[in-house]
Amino acid sequence: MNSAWLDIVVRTLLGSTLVMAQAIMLNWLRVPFAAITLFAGIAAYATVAGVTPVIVILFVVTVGFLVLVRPLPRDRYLLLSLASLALARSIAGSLRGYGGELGMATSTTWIAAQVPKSAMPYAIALFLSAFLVLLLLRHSEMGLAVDVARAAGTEMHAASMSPTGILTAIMLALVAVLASLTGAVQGAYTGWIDPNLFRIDYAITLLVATLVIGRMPVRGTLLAMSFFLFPDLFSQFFGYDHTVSAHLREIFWGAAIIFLAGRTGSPVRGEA
Amino acid sequence: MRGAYYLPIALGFALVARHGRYLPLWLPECGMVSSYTAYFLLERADMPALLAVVVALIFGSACALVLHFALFAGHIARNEPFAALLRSIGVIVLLDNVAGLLTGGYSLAFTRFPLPSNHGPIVLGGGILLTVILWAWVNHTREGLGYRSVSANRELAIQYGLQVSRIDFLVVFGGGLLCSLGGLANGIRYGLTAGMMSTTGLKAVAVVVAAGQENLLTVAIGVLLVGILESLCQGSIRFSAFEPGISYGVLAVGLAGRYLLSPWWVRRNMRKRWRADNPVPEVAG
Repeated sequence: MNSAWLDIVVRTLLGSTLVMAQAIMLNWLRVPFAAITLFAGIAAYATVAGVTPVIVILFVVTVGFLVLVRPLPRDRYLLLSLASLALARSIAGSLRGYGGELGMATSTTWIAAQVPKSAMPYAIALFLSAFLVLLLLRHSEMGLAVDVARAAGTEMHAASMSPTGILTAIMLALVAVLASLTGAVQGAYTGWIDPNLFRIDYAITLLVATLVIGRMPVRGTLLAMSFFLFPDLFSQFFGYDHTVSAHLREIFWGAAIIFLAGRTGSPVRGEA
Repeated sequence: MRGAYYLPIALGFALVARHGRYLPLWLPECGMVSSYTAYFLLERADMPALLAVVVALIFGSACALVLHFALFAGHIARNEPFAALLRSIGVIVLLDNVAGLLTGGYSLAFTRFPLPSNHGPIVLGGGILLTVILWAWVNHTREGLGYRSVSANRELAIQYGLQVSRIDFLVVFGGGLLCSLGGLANGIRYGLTAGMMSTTGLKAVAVVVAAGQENLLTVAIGVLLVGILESLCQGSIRFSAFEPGISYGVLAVGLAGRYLLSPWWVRRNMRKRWRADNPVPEVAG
């Protein structure tokens, strides 16, 4: 397999991991969380800023999102999670020590930048971890508790049967860890960090993918992978420009969200 | 002056958001539809400028009506704000990418529509005038009373015989027209890009959500202040990175004030009042 294909595989695995991690909050727990790239972006800065300060920031951000779950209405929470990306982008852009708005190169000893083979083991491990979490949520007793906690948002009786707050905290911590590790690997693999890691339009793209994959571990994982594979495969096989393929992908998935959000019992409507 | 370009979008959004009790994130996209329509009519079809602008504004508003009645009216009737928000995101993604595909991802600019040198004061004056007219319409007219009634309780308004469908039509058309106007003004001033309204629109939305969609005057003042702050940041090398984040900072502070601090403040005051009304009796001895 040549280097270009390995690069596609690494990017697909890392992107799919982020989507699956976000699905744990949004699809399983019904918390309208759309800022998975915030955790990934902050962790990517760990490749130049060091681990300890980044862990402290990630902890504060996680606690902040956790505290806001209950008081904020769901649409406001979603909007705030997107807004947090814009704020993070501004703050990252103002950090002159880390390249400001232009960003800076990263250098790590554990992954060589732009060398897919060095990032592959980490990408596979993270992807399998996310997949395992989804499988456990589907088939374990804890998964059942999460299902009850999700129902607690609308059903009074369900609220008394599951410790919603604790489950939300556990899941958010898990998601934060998964997303942070993925972000760190992404930062080390691309070899560059800049405030564009916190782009709102990328977060919206991931949100669309998250909504479509629903709560089916296997089907959802395959869908998430196809989402990231499509532009590259389409351009390789049909000679299309990569950007055009990405536009086509997002038109298709945007239409899917519009359709699914209006259908009773659909995965998206189920989140609403 | 930058805030003046956000103003029509914020007003249109606030009008429709209050009416439907949801966040119509899709509405600013009508501004993009309107801008691109004006561009193709002016630059490609060589239509006279005034006619092209009028057709583009009507097309943008018609687009708002079609999207509202086809996709969002049901969510409003069933009171599903979150499902409507998700659908809004789907509409934004779809329209932005269709525009990106049609233009090959390139930015466009109006060449046959030169800006007058005093465009800033004109847009600012127009924006303030629009705010005052809209505020007066909502708060001091018979139609405005109908609008407020439907916004407050849709079911009750229907039972009392208000013409809800007519109000729906007027509000969405008005909101769409304002966003089309804002989109066109932004397009003429800053050029056309596929995601032009998703970024600008979100900034306006952030201020509306922070200020509260029912307070049109507060929304207008907030949007203008955000514009001033953005210009100040852009003018300073040290703070230029904060320019895109100002409106979202306002959103975060507004939401924290409304949903976190406000209940605490209310509870504290209620407790104080209760204690004043119910003094603890002194125990003898």
